[in-house]
Amino acid sequence: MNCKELKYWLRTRDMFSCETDPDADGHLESCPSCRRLFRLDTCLEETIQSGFIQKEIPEPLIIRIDERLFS
Amino acid sequence: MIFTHESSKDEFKQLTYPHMKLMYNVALRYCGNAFDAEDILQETYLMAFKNFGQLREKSKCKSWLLKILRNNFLKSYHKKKTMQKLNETDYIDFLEESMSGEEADNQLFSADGRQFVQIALDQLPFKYKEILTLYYLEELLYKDIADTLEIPIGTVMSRLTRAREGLKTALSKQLSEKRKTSAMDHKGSPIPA
Repeated sequence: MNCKELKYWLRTRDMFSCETDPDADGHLESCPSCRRLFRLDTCLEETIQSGFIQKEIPEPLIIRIDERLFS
Repeated sequence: MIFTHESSKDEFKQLTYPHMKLMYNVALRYCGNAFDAEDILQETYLMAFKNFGQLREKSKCKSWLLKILRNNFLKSYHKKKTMQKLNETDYIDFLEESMSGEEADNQLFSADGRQFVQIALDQLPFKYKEILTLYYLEELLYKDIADTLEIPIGTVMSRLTRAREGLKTALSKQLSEKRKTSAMDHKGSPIPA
């Protein structure tokens, strides 16, 4: 795998459920700039995932909905 | 009050209330603020209650609710919002150019996810925002997303790829700007004696 192929893999790795790829791993081991790109992309992915953690629904809101529906 | 039978009320609660937390969180991401999200959620449950008889396949309750919520949001969204366009910047190129230096990595690690992601999400067109919300919030399968949005699975995959790149670009830009601002603040601060 070369740098161009690695970048393509980086874009599509989730779409095709190929989060790990021995070819990509091999290239990442030998290429510091792609390694860094991979690290940044992974960090961004983790930041996104942390941004989507579900919040608890406020209790007064459930009560309001209950009241509007059933009282 | 629409239902007079206790059993219907119970069935409605039993089927729809377990999804309320998800609906609230989807509404939060769509609206970007709790005030509007609460309104949308209330309207969604009122509408679902009125039309509960139309839900034929009980197993599809979640996607049925998501559709109602989506329609409710779109009604208000078209009134208020101007249409956003997806930034056509190449994500990988942008990442390479803008996020140079070790401090970029540290910044990513210390970013407050929810706030950063919401700001970035609000910069995207709704079709990207909604697909990201369904994908990340509930980790819905492509098939379920396709079902909810009534689009083919292939479109889900390509739209999701574009959406993720758009979100990551917006997020990187935000972090890059934050970095510049903090660097300027640092320059402007008095030199300690």
